[in-house]
Amino acid sequence: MKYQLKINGKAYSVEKKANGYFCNGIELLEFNSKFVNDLSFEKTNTEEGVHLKIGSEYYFASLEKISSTANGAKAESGIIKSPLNGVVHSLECEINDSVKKGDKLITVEAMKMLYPFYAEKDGVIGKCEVAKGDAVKTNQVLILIQ
Amino acid sequence: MVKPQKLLIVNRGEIVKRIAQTCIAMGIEPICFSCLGEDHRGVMCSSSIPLAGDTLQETFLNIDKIITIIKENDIDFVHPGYGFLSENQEFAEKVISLGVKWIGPDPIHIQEMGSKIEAKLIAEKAGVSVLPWHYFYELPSKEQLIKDCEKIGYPLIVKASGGGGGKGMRIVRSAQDLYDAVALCAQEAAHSFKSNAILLEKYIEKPRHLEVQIFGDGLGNITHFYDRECSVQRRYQKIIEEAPVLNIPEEIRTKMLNDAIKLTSHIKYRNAGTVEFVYDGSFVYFIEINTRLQVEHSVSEMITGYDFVEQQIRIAQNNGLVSQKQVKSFGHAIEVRIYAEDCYQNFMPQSGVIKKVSFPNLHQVRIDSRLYEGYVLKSYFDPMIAKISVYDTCKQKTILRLKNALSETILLGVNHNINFLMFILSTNEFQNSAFFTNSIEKGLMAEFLNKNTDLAKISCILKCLLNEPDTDDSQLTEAASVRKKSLFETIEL
Repeated sequence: MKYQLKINGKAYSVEKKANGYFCNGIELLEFNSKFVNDLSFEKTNTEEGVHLKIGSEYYFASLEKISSTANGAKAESGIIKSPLNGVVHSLECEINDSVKKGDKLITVEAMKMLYPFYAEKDGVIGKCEVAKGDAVKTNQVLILIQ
Repeated sequence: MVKPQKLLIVNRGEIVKRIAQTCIAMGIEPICFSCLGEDHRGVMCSSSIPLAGDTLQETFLNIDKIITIIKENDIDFVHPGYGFLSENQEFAEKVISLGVKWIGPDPIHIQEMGSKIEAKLIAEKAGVSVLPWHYFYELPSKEQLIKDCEKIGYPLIVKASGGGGGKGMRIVRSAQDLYDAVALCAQEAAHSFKSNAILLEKYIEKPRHLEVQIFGDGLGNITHFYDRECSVQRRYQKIIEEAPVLNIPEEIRTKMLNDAIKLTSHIKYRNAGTVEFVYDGSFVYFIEINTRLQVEHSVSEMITGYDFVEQQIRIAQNNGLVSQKQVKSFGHAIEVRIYAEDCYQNFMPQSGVIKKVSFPNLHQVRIDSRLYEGYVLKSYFDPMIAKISVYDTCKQKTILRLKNALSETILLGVNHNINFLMFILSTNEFQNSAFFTNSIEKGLMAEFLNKNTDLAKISCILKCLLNEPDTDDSQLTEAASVRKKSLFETIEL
């Protein structure tokens, strides 16, 4: 079984084998959930992952199973995601529109800043489920170019 | 017995707590709002007045609703705190017209200084140095714009005059990029700031942000409470501030203090204000005046020993201004702002629920926060959730004390910037007072993100995520005693 472990924004590949867990190929020894040497330890699990404080350092970690079928072949460049919670300020494209690389597609307003997004490749708008004035969430897919 | 006077705090969270403490010490009754799920409990107010609504626009930013409440509740003083309506001229005017004492500057100064353009014109009139600059209200033609900016040179920075905290700012490095950047900025200005005015000025490559705390009596008398440095910024927002400024020539400090007094005395400024400067390594230039008490006022309180909210109330009561010779500066103070943000994902603001929170009670450490377990962080509130201010006789000792305070803090449930603050406090740039407002983007951020987690911690974190049953505690202690610490800590990925 393979996992992607994310700790403080960094990705590690974790594999479960018969003789234990391996992280980036190195076996994890002394495998327990309270290993802190002589450091203080606090933890809280949330839906997204786990928040920990080990000594004076904070960690936020999440774990995702990597399925063996989808090998990350998805072309990411056609997906436009909102970088943070905000509101759609303007929408310059519609579904089925042909767009060229560099065309301005959508502008999101957040924290009183405008974030314009441009097409990263030529293609056709395959998905566009937001409208001007809509509230959007972090990582919400705004537009899909096919 | 005389009924105590009532002071309404038009704000929320730790700001209410800060102001209420001073009211109590002065025998004034502090009152706040019960609004958006919060009330007077935990913020040291004796009572709260309901302020209905589900959004900031309907509540803390709703001037008419708040004015009606002030009218109906026998309020003697209004303190706006910082943020929200603290720099809103219309609100200040309406409060004053009710005959209620407004704890803040004259509305005309809020208006003038709220416009970066107006502020610069006034500063020039008062004989204070400003950066080479240009401004316009109507976007000129591309050719005209390029010509107008020749006197500034490149790089230059474009700002919406009504913006703040980096909102709507852009750096332009060549004439060919100028028009597009300015046009986008103008669009933002029209949309967000109610003013079309755009300001362009020389961009300093290695800027330090310095500022002077002043108080005025409205008659032209000004007392300064020394200087602060706020160069530790990300996205143009301050995260660490200190007082006094170190590593500058004494003549620069003197010029800065004198310019601050010259400018504020010229306009007969009233109440608390901050005169902000940029230092390019050889000269200081005036940037703007913040017409409110600022978040970072705590560090200046620590080095001077004065309570600035008390000074504000005394000025509003016409009880006079502390004279300059009564204000001395001792030692060094540093404040860090704890933001609910993901410092590993471009400082994205976070929302969520605080699951565990505990601040240390330590000597010379001041905590300003109203967090508690179960506190819900809402996306429309400011992501600043706490500040920690620390004092000692010199900067090095203050840093060590502050790092200890941060490491004794427990805050779990949402992502925050404590790791990042600890990192910054350890850098040579910060310790040697050679930190520039862009040092984070220009290298330090990459250094911070580069840090790996050691294997021992990875295995512990992984186990927490897998939710497999834990070894019981007694076995664990036993295991810990035989464990070889070095085995784990020397392995780097």
